[in-house]
Amino acid sequence: MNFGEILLMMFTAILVENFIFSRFYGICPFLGVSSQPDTALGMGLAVTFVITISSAVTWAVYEFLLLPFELDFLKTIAFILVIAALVQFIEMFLRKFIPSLYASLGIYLPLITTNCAVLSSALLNVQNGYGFIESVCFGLAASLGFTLAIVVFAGVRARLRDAKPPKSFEGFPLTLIAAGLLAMAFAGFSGVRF
Amino acid sequence: MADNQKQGGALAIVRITLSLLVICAIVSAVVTAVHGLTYETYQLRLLEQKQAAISALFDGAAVSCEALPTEGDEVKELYRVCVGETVVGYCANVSSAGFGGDIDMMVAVSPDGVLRGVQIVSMSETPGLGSRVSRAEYLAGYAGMTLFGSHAQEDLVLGEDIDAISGATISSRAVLSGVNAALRVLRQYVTVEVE
Amino acid sequence: MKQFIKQLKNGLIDQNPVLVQLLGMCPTLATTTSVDNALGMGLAATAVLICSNVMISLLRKLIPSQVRIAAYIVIISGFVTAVELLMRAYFYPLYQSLGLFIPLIVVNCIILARAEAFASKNRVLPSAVDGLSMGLGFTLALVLVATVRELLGMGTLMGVRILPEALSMTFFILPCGAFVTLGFVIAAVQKLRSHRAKKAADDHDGEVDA
Repeated sequence: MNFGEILLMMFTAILVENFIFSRFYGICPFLGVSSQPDTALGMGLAVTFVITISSAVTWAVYEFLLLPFELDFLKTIAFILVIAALVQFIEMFLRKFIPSLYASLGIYLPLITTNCAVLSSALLNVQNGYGFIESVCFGLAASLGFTLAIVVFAGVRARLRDAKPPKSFEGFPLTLIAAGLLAMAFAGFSGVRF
Repeated sequence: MADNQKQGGALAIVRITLSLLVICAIVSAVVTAVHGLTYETYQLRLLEQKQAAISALFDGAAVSCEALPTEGDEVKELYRVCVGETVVGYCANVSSAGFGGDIDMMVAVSPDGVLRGVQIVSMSETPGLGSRVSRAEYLAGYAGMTLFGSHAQEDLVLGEDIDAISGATISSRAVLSGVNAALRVLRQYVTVEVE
Repeated sequence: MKQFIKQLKNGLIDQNPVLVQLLGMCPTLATTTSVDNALGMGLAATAVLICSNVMISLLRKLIPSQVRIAAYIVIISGFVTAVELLMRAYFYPLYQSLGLFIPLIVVNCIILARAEAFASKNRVLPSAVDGLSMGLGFTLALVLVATVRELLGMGTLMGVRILPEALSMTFFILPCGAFVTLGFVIAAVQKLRSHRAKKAADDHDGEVDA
């Protein structure tokens, strides 16, 4: 892929096929951690960090370990192991060498292992047949799209705090409907292409 | 004292690693076994679907296919389709990236350069939305186009030659790009035969 | 036996993983565009849940505590891959329809939550029943949402046309419709639960007075 195509792919991954509002990957943390804009940003950046690195590592594992031995069917197991180990290493590394970053991101890191977005970005890289650079760029873009979605949604939820919905709509239902309206906004990007 | 603790620590790590490795080994063995058991059935299913698609493209006639060599990586398989001794057309199996995954399709042309039709072999598009591209009414829009004249060297264009399904732009585009890839290869065979 | 019926009721209604515990949202939103898909996904997840609960319960005394999450993930992903391969061979159209969400069963919060909360602390048979009950509860929630989405969005139910196509609202098939439908379903569930709780409190008051 040339540079222009990669940029287009990234634009598509952030807006047109947004991980949350178009593909539904990463909903659990999206609904759970988006109550405050700062925590939302923290989670988004942590996810971006993990997905970008895991895109690189899972690509290498697929290319040099699974493909040559025709073990494609083991990719789910291999990828989730890689991701779990990666999250563990990143946590230890940050705690030891960049304590300030660990203090702000640390609580979210263990949750990221079970974030659908991480595993699905790795699987999508394989499905789309991306090379190394494309995989990393796609991972970066997809996670930036996730961050965008979660931060925007946190802003929406902050406004919702003063709302007085019917009793049975309090809490999750209201959040979901707000997310639906936001999804409608993002649907405006569908089909966009240069 | 410290030595004892260190030994305990090292032993614990060994025990942990060993138990993880054992679990990984058992799980991998089970999965590999299931894979071995199901692989042939899976390949058979794929073959059945392709045969069904080719058959549908040639009005259900009992056809025999002769595999032809393909270059490039868009067109996966190429066939010369015959009923008995007469050549009734050429068929290409292409795959293009859709919304939910690859869309696998069969594109057939007749020897005189007319697009016979397009059949979706397999896809993972959203039911009710992207999946509408597999409907006969939509795919019929591809049938009947001639590969000569204005389409001699150019690809088909969305909006001009075929419409997209509203709400399923990505899926429609994927089908179109697959068809174009197939036609680029099939054109050679049709021209050669006509001459 | 009574215990198992209680467990089943728990998973299906009282502690329904999606509608009450609010877990497993990703597949609930993504695979409910048609009832067939929802049923397939629910049953596949149930199969994985039962198998992983049983295996984790069997091995619960042997898995070291420090790496238990990693061990659970390995076991769960093994069963998910097995289910994926079996679906690919014997249920190919469903496998196609569900796409990436089959391997994503691995990170379905419900399975890991039940492994940690129940299977690691209980014997095999109760764990199996727990897997069955939570899985069926998950399936029930999925089918509920899918029924609304397919009926209003396409006018069909499991492929059978019920409403004329002219009346179908594509909104429900789109992602926005997924969020909104689930929101309304959970609101309905919350209303039902508060109604039942209020009724129970009223009955209790009635008894005390008498």
